[in-house]
Amino acid sequence: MRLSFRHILKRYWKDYASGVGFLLLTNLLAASIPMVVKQVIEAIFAAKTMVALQWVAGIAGITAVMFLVRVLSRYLLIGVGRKVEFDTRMDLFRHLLAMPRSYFDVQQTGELMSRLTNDLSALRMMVGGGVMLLANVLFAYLTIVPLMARLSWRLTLMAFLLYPLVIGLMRVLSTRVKRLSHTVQDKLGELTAIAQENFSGISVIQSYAKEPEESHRFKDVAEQYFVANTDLVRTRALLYILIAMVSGLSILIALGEGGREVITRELTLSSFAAYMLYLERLSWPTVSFGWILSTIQQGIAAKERINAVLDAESTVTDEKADLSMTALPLPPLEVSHLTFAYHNPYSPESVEIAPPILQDVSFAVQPGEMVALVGPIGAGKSTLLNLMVRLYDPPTGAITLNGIPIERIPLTLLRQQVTLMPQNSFLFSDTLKANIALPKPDVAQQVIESVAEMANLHADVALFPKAYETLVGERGVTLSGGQRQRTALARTLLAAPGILLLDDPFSNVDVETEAQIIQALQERRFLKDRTTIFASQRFSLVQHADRIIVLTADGRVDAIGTHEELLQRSALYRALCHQPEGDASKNASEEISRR
Amino acid sequence: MSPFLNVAEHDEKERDVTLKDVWLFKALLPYMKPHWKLLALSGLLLPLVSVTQVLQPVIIRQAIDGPVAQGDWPALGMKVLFFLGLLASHYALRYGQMVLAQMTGQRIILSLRTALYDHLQSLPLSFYHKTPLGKLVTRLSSDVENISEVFASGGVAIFSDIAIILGILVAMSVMSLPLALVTMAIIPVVIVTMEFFRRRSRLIYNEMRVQLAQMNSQLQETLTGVDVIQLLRREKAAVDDFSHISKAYMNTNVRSVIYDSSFTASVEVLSLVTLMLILGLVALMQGGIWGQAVVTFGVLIAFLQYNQMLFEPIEEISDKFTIIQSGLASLEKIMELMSIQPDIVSPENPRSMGRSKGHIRFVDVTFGYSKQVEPVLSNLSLEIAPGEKIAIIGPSGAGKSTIIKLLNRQYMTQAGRIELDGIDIASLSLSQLRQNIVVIPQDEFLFSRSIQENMTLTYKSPIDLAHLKKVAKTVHADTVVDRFPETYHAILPERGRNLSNGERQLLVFARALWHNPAIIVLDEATSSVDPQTESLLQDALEKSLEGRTAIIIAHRLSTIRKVDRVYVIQQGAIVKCGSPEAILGDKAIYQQYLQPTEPSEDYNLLHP
Repeated sequence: MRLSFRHILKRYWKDYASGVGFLLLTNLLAASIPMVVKQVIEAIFAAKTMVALQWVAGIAGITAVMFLVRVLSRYLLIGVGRKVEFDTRMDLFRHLLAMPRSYFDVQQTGELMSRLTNDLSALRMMVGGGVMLLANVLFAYLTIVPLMARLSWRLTLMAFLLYPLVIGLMRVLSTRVKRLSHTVQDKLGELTAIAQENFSGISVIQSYAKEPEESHRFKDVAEQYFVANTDLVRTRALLYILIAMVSGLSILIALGEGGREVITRELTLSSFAAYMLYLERLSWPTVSFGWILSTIQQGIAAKERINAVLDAESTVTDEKADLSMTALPLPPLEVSHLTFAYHNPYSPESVEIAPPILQDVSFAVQPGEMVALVGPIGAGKSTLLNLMVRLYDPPTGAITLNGIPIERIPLTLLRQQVTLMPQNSFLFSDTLKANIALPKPDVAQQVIESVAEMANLHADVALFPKAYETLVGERGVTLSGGQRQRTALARTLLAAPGILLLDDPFSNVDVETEAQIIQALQERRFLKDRTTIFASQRFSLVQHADRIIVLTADGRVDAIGTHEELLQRSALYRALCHQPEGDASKNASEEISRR
Repeated sequence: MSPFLNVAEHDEKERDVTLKDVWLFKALLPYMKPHWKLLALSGLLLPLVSVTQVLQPVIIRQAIDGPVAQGDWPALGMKVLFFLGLLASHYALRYGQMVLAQMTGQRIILSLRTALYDHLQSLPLSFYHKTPLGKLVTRLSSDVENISEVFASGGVAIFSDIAIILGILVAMSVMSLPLALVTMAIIPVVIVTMEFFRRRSRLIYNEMRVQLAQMNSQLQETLTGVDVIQLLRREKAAVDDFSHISKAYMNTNVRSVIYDSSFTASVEVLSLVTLMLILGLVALMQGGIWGQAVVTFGVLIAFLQYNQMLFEPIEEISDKFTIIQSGLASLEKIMELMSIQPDIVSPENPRSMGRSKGHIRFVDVTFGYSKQVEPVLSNLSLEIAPGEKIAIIGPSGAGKSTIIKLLNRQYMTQAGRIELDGIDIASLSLSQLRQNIVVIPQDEFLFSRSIQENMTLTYKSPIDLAHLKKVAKTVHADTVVDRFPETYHAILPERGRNLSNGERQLLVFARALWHNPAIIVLDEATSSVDPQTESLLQDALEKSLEGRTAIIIAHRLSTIRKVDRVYVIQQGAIVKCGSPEAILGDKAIYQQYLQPTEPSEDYNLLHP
């Protein structure tokens, strides 16, 4: 949901109302103190000691109440800021989780992180502390100005003569503050992104001794940030001074004009003295208004940057889905005349016509069938699998399940039935168990062990001192590529959908292990009732497929058939099976088969 | 307390001890020092700003009591003019002071930020293996910002506030000592109150900074693994997890608001208590408890005014208190990182070495990741002549990758030494050593930058594009580049995730070759690629190694066959060394290490 101040007000009006109410009460109590003090002084100089002491005790009472009310009003008003920060952070988080792959292809993680922290804190300052101070200023004006007007409305009008002029200037300056805050926050995001990226790739930077280059890169952005920030600081100071000046000048006018009126007997001296006291009391609220104004402008800039994230709509949605659908979509899975190119709707530069990755691809996969996708580099095998789970959106109607276009199937239902094991085996910083159990967190230990066994992982895990409780991921033990891949496989098997998509599932596993896994899957009849489509380079794996789809380098279907059929029919398939002549690894493999 | 830690001692768990403010100021000093002139100037302007402000009401009083009351036109005109001059100078001074203080603050922040970045960049990989990235990013971005807030809010003016307080106390003492003493009695109470809240809110702010870092770490991980979450429909669980930490952060925040509000309100209470004390005391004195009336009306009014004036700067301090405490908490977290000493640094007077000839010698090298456990390598010696290519094979955990880590000094040997061209590598600067040795790990990182930047790893330095193209062509990386309409300027997504394993490896070979090192160390990738890419990779590898010394942790038979010598490593020691033919011919070794079995994850062999 888009962030709007109206919504915030609507949602937290109770906090705001009671907070402002308490604030008003505090102000009234504070205003009552001089009156009590007056009573005390009169009592003292009338030598009524006891009366004076009673009034002093009265101050104690007021003080106690004030303490409570003051704490409450601050707690409520500043608290709103914290709550709004939390709400918005969660909104952003939820929103990001619903964004498709293409969004993250152009968005930098660090930049997003900056929006979820730095921009949110600017927002918080505005809706919390900013509102509180604004209320204070308003109260000051609302209580003091009528008192001043009662003393002399003419003088009051004159004192505020400059205000309209300044409002114009203020608007210019605050627009500038907002614009500059935008730049500042942009640069901070850029800076965060560089830090994020460079710490992720620190091993490369260090092993190529590129610290000076990267230091330079970081420093450049840090300096750009500094320059933008000093611009902002200067404008903010100007705004602040300008408003302070208005307050000073109104005192000056009042002093000159009021003095004149007293001398010409239009105004009494005591009224004038009182008037000047009131005007002085207004000067602090007026001056703080400059600060409030820039807080608000910075908050608005932050809000706009946050909304820029929230406004980016996911292209992969349930918009076309039939939400009444509850039954799991069933195979056959059919691809018809699928042509696909990566047009990234989130990239401002990507207007250029991207070359199609897949061209006029058509085939059908029957229930229970196992189909392999093979093809040279860049043939679009991964793209095809990604499209089937809508990581990217296929053209309407190009992919269907049991005749239903997949965009008509609610996304969660589709992904419940079709699961893709992607090429890169990402593990979270958590236990091995939690990583495997990701699709079904409450599953029993023995189920986890059973899928781990199928994925040929169990024996490895047994060697870890903490077994399934071993921490893996960013800060955990470093698993080998093969162990990572088998963990990802175990996780996919646990999800156990009706249609399994495997993107090069054994690229980090040797042939023998691969064979053991296949055997385990066959023994447990795991794949028997499931439809499987996998992309692979391995002909040891491909040979298990019922049918093989051969894709050409430019993303067309070259041929479809069994291994034997394709050896006959497809020159490309033969080329893919056989190493180029004279290659050493071919000799090596022959050598092995001899042994 | 100076918490110097080296990387090994640094624990990922946050300490909850707060450092003394004095220590923190001292730590900040080096960053302030270069700007001391500006700081001093802005410090000098502060009293002028205050004086021109404090004088304003005085002039007004004088104008009312004098010219206005007496109907003296010219004198009133003078006063108004004087007031105008006062205002003008006050605003000019104030603007100058504000801009100066904040600009200096921003400069200090800039040097702190770049220093923190450079420091983190210098910490060894072992540090990165136990520190979540999100934490480092948070410190560098939000925490530095938080300190910047202290400057932006004028938190530095706290010193002038203290001066004002002292001045008022002196003025009060001159007027009436007993009343002044009553007022002064409240000062220690104010200090105790402040200290009470300072300790507590600092702990809370510290906790907040820790939680913010945790939240960011979780966010960064979620964003990195967003695919998996979506594919397995774990969105709800991810939201719950994040909401958990996010809520904890909010609750700590709210707790801090209670403390801050109580503090501000307490200061208000103290101000009123002082008022009560003064009034009560005067009432008792006037009531003749201590005999004669001693306090005149004028003195009482003056005292009440001073009381108000006294608490104005105190309230000012309490307003900035939150920002300052929060800023100090951030500074503490930053200094915690800054105080971690990298355990591997360049020697102070490194020996100079140009391009290495590529002569490597391990002499009785012993190494363990910690002193308690069995060493990974013990008394390992080996020599590689310039231009020689060797392969290392052995079971996982045998210490193969440790050899690489020692060679480019990610770790230090515990005993023995490693020589490059006869020079102990410990006496070379890290950059000189690493410029000569390129290590290619199995899964190397690609930046979300242009392909060209990924190959050259440069920033702004001019690049000989023709040469780059030549290098790319040599290792067949041009086939990857040509897939993109923008060719070398194509920006990769994070980690180059739109590329296949094979494509990534080709780019990494181009990266290595571009740097033209004397020595290449390769941890051969185990992932399988299609036969065509495989033959491209093999060819790329061969060309990359041409004319260089090479150490390869080999997984493919084809690679082993091409080297000069093969070392078999087992439990940190060389068990056998010989020509590829000899090793391949040794049936026992072949079956143990070269048969494609777990966990060496050997190269797949196609079944044609």
